[in-house]
Amino acid sequence: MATESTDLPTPSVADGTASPSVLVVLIVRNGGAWLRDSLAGIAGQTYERLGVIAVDCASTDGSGDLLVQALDEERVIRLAHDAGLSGAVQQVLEDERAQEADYILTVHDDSALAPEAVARLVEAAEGIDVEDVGVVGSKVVDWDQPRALVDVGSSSDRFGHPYSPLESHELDHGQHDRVREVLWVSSAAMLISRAAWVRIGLPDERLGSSSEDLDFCWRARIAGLRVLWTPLAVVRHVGASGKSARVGESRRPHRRYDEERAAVAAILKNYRLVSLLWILPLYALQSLAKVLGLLVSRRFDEIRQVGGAWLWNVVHLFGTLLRRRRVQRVRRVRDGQVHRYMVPGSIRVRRWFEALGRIVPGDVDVPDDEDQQEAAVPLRTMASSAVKTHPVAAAWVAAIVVGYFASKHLWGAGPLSGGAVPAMPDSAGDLFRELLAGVRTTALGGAQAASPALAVLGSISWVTFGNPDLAERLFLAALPPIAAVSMYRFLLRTTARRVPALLGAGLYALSAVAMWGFSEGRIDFLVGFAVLPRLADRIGVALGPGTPKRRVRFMVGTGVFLAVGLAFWPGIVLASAVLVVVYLVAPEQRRRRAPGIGLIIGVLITGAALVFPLIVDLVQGGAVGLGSRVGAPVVADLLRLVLGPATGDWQVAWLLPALALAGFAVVDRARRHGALRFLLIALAGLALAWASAAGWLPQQFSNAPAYLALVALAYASLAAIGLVSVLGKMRGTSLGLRRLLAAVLVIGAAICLSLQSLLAAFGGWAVGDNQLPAAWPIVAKDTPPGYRVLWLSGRRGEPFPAPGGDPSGVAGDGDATLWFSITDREGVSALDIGRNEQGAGYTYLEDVLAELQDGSTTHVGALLAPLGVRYVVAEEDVLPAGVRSRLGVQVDLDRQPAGGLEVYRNVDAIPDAVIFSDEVFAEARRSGDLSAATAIEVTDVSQLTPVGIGWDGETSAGGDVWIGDQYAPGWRLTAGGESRPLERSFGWALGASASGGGMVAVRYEDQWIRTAEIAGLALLWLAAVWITRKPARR
Amino acid sequence: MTDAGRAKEKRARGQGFFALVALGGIIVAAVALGRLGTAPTSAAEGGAARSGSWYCPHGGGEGWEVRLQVANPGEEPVRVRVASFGEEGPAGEPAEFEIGARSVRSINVPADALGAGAMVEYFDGFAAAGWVTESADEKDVPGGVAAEPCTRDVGTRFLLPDGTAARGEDAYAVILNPFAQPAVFTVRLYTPGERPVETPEQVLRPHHASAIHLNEFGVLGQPTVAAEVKVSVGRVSAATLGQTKGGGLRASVGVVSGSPQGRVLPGGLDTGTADLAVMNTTTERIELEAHSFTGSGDRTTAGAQGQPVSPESAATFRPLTTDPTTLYVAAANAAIVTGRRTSGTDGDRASTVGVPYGTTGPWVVLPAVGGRRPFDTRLYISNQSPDVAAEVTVTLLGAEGVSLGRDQQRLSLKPRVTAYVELPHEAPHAAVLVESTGAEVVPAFTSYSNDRTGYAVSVGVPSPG
Repeated sequence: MATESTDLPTPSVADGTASPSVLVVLIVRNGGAWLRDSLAGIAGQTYERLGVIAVDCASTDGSGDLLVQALDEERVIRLAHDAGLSGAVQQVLEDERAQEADYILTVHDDSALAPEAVARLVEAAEGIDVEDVGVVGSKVVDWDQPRALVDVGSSSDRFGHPYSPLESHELDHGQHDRVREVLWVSSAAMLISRAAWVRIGLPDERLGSSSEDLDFCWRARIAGLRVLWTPLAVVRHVGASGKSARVGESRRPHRRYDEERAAVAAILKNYRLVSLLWILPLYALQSLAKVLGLLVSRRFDEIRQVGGAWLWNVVHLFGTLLRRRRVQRVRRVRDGQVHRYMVPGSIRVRRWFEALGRIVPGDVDVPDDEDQQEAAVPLRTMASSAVKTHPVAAAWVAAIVVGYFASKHLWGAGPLSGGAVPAMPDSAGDLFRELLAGVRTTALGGAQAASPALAVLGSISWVTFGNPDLAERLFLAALPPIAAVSMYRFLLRTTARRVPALLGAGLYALSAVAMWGFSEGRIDFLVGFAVLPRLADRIGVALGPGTPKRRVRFMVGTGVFLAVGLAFWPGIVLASAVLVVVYLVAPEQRRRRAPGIGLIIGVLITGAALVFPLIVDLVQGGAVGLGSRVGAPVVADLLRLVLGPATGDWQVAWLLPALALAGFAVVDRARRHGALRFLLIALAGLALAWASAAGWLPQQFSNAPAYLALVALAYASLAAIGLVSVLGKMRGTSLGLRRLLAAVLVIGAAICLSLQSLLAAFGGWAVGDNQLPAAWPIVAKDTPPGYRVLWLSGRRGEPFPAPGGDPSGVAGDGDATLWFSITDREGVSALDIGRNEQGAGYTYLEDVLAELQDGSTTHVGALLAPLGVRYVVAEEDVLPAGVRSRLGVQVDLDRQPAGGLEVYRNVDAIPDAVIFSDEVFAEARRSGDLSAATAIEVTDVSQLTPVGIGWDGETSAGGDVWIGDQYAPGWRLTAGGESRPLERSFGWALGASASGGGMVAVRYEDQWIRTAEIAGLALLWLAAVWITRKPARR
Repeated sequence: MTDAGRAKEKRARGQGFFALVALGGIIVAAVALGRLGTAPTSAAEGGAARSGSWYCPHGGGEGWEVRLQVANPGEEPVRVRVASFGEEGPAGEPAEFEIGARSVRSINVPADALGAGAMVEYFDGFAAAGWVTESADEKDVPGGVAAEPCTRDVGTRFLLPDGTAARGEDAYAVILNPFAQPAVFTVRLYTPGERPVETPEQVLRPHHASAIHLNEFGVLGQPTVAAEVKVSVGRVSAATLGQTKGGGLRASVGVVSGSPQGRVLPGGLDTGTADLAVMNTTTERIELEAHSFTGSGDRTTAGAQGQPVSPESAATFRPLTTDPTTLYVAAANAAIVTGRRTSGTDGDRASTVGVPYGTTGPWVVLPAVGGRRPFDTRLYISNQSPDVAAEVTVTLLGAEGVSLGRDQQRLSLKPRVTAYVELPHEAPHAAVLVESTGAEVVPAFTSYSNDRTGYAVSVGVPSPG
């Protein structure tokens, strides 16, 4: 083979008449597979004044010899290493034959020029009356499928990340065919003018082949040179480097590293100082957010790449600054003029959604023939083309619109309150302090460990500038979409179809029980609701026909999900247990159950280990913490997933069970078994939910919200399976019941989703800004602080008025049944997420309430005094008549005027930590006798000052120290120079004689146990996260 | 259709049928579960903490003497705390003491103004409390005596039926607020044939007592002035205090609601006449049903039986009584609120609102005897049952360390018969515990001073047994 022109072209620009000379720089590295075509392309050029010099970058596949054969030895420069584009061009320019060239044309060894390519490139550079053209790019098409476009001129965002206007596998219909100014073009066939390389120098050799062309063109722009793209010059391109298709080349796993590194370098070099002052910090913040996102998704390798990219830039800062100096020295235009060729934000948002669409399915395998199958669905004409082609992106847009309106109430100046939303502490540090504390600082105290969920809440609070309230709002707003995504992934695996999976996910996230959780601000429930589909997915895999490939990773990964659910909402164990039982009773196929059961046991052990302090407390409390007392036993409500009065409890909620039943009725044979399993789950969940609400189950197994969440999952799954069956089989089906059901199913799903979305967007929520009862300040603003609130209700299954939260216990029976809870004066606290109320203090409280109901005392206030209860609060008119009348005759409980609430102030209340000298109290404290306690009337008390985990105080005449927290060994009193352990008082609290007087200090001395627990827990989580880390995306 | 197609169709129908069966099953289950209802809860046993409180809005005046009587009918000592309140607030520190088993203890409390009251709290057991008031002698007119058990009632509404503002009578409502929260109240006055009158809203500070002179609210001369105390903030306890120009004194605690079953109003040692005051706070006319349980049995009460009481009004009837007579008064389709004013032989009067019909014992009856003069006292006991005889045991509860000799008596009462028991002279200040088997009874002490100028009636209070 030989080229038509073997000599270097004569300079012609000077006289302005001859065609400009072009020197092709063919860059070769192990490109033997395509080199012949590439050389043929060069040889076939119609442009006359063309020279070629090839640079062989240490090829080992014989490409060098091929070059010599084709071009002769003198036109082949052999390098001992891979010098890249920059090195190759530099080598060529150092050759004296290149000194006279008007243009150089970089051509990769995997690029084949169309015959007219060079002529068209030169024509674009010189023949269309555009001045100062520095770079011209060509239309790059796929090597094997020339109709598929690869590059039509590209752009970038402000941070130097490349952006192509092309869709994936976009076909060429001439839609881009006009000469355009762009930010950068591919170096696969890039024409560079002499002015360009003289003025701005060579590409930055440090950046690598994937990024140097963007940087080079950007610099050309800064230097006032135009970068054009012409559709008339066509080049086929393999993209061998990106595909790791070269001989001896393994796939590069560092795409993010390359991109980040080049972006930072480009920012540092190419922006003016004024721009740099805001761009660089902004980009640093974005990188931080990126790292956090990657951290959450356990993509540690990519975190390493991002960190490495920044580190590289630090190490190479000097070289970057030198290059910056040169860039800025030749600057002719402002940054704003370059920005015109960068992408606007709206395009980035669209791309982000598309990326989400790719990311969300995760590891789920979707059949390749899905499009073809969907093409057979006649009902697809009902959907818009946008939804058809990008259903996930469309769903995201819809979710954001609904989410925007639905969460509008969350954003205000006042604190988030109302419903059952827990009060957040003042700072993120408080969350971590509670997590690390050896004793509980809320409710009745004790040695109960805080949930690891506080670490999550604390971290989010830290990210939101140390504002836990903002973190709570964000968390609450994010949980329903997360639940939808989680359900979508589950259904995608179950149905292998995107549209039904999306509809099912929507039905799940907009179900009445989900809206109830959101309306009431139940962060704990919503976390469980979001995790449940993932657990269902994993349980299905564990007990399904196949076996997970990496058993340990699978086990630990599922254990992590279980632990997250447990940490926030222990009730998830009950829901998961039902799933396991149903999967065992109705397995997918006949297979040995032992391996699956083994996996499930492993998951249980892992999950328990990851929250082990919580598990210890659960076990000590007889597992009553798994239960919940929320939910009324109204079958009609439970069937439509309604747990109580809340947005979403309207009659439209019937649509979901109706859709589930219709879905079950139309399901095809292949999915019948799966549908039957979901029907079983739904029926079991409903029965258990009712039994829980009606009180027929032991408290350990009573959790109506958990079972209803399961029912919601089953309903949505049945509807999705039914939709898949219907959408896949409608062609050729005659008009009949089945077709009617299909229409009902589709229209019903659409109506259900639309109405629920409208309700979610415009309905009122219990939670919001300042949603506390008007009378609440009577209770919350009393002084001195250090008191508790006893909440009472006679209404089964309903939460207390805000901020009372849910009942934690029940006392009495029949019409006099009382549901109760005890909180600090702030109400239910976020510090107690995942933690239940248990211990001897609650038994004492039950005894006191039994006395109230019995009517044998008029000194209930005195009995409540040791508990630190200063207020008894109930919603107006919900107390049983007998209880109200008995409260009314208590000597020491004065009803306060409080609209909407019944508030009784306990005149005998004592602060939670005091020194006193009252013989009656001291005697009662020691004996624990309730009768003796009725005479308590402590008037001379000195309140202790909280100091970390403990209290300080002073007494002149001795007395008794009283701490109204549940007993825990490890508490010691130092008074009068003596140290002694605090005794158990009233059978549940802490007290001791502080004889001698003087300074008094109460300290907890078993803190080291908790510290060791947390350290162990941290190690376990690190190990779990490392085991389940995800590979970097390529 | 091919065989395969038919099979497919059949399967599809089967699936639909199965779905219908599931729907049917759900509906049946829903109905069944709805009928099953909720599970009974296992409640903790109450009764370990036995304590209570009595409110004694006794009132007072210059030179008056008020003695609280606290009786412990149980077998274990009881701790008692007594706090007094007046128009200026708490009257000194609360007194705390212990009462031994089966004994009674008296304690004088401050009562130098009309607004005066006390609260008696008992702990770790049960104690009953009542008061005896003796007004000061004025020139030749000896002071009167009033006795009344304290009330356990405290609330936002009190009904005081027995007031009168007839010539020579002064009617007061004594309001007691022993609690730590202010009380805001009005008093609505019901009279015969007139529209009710309401007093301006008044604030009673915490731990205070006050007295409202009912005569001052346009009801002067009315033979019946029934009062309804309505509390809008806080809670109070209330009683009437009536004074006559002749030195008579009577007191009667209020009730918080009417009695649908009627009320039983014991009495005795009287002159043979009684004023039966009835208040009707409803908007409907009521008609009385009145019976007398006499020494010989049940008979309708002439002068009261069948008498109407207009809506939102009060009326006084004068039934004829013999000694002994216990009145039973009810109203068809209405909860009755009534009081019995009984005249002594020489100016003094007594008053009681009795007890709701059907109230069960055992009963503790507190002394109705003043401390200034020697008194005779009788215990009247009435069998409420229309057809069953009652076997009654009366046990004396004397002061600690005082031997009463014959400390227990037994008697048998025919249905609806009232009888009395003479108590030993050496125990005028003793309380009694009245227990019955067979039928429920209602006991009351009546007392006369030896000079016949002091007369008082004290109805028993039920004890938890």
